[in-house]
Amino acid sequence: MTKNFQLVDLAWELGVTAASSCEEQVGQTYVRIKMKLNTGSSLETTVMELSLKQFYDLLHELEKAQNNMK
Amino acid sequence: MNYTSNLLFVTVPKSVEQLSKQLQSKIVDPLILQTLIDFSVRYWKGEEICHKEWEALLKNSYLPLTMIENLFSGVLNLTLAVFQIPEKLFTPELVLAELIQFGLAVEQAEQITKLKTTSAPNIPKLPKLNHVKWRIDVTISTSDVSRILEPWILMEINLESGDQKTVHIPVAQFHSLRYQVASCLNQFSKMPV
Repeated sequence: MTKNFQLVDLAWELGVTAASSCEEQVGQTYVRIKMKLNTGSSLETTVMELSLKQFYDLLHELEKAQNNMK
Repeated sequence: MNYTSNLLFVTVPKSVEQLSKQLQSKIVDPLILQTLIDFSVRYWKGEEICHKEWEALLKNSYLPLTMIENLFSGVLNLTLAVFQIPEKLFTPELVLAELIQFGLAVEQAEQITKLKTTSAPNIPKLPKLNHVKWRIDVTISTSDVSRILEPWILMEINLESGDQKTVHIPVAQFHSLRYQVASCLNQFSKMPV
């Protein structure tokens, strides 16, 4: 059974990779999302990095959820 | 008592000196010593020795608990020293001679000498660096500040154990890291190796 944690806070960061040891990453845009979750007994911080496409996919899903709530 | 230990120890530990004194005064039962050697091998392999086994050992021995503990400490140091001999310096005959010099019987000295080739101890050691990847990111905007344009370094450190650590290094810290690495390299070049 998956545990359901409550989202307490969310912060985001938009950036671009200027240089890298892996050449294919140069010039890539990223969105980094930091979520603070209430596990019940403590606060946990989860960080995830999304490419632009992944971010737009996430945005699409969130908008679908919001529309279903109306 | 003077020991000439060339391969096992630079300085013979006190626990090994005490072990040697006890062995040479013949007050240690060979079966008890054999059990302690077996325990030490299992210990270095990371295996647990349960309380009942210790109790059985104490029951079978007429020696007090403190003496058994001191003997075990000596045996642990001795077996660890054998494991830690570098491969290119390991000569079974010399190791055997040193162990016999400490008061061990030939059979037990042979058993401990063979550990080097037959056992792999689970001695905790620092993880080794396998691979490093880095990238320089420029933060354009965050949820707190709309326009930042701050550069920083994201470094992914892969260890031989399979662990992966990702660290975020601000520019000032990165310069400090570069300085420390340069100092370290400088010291390397001065070493007479």
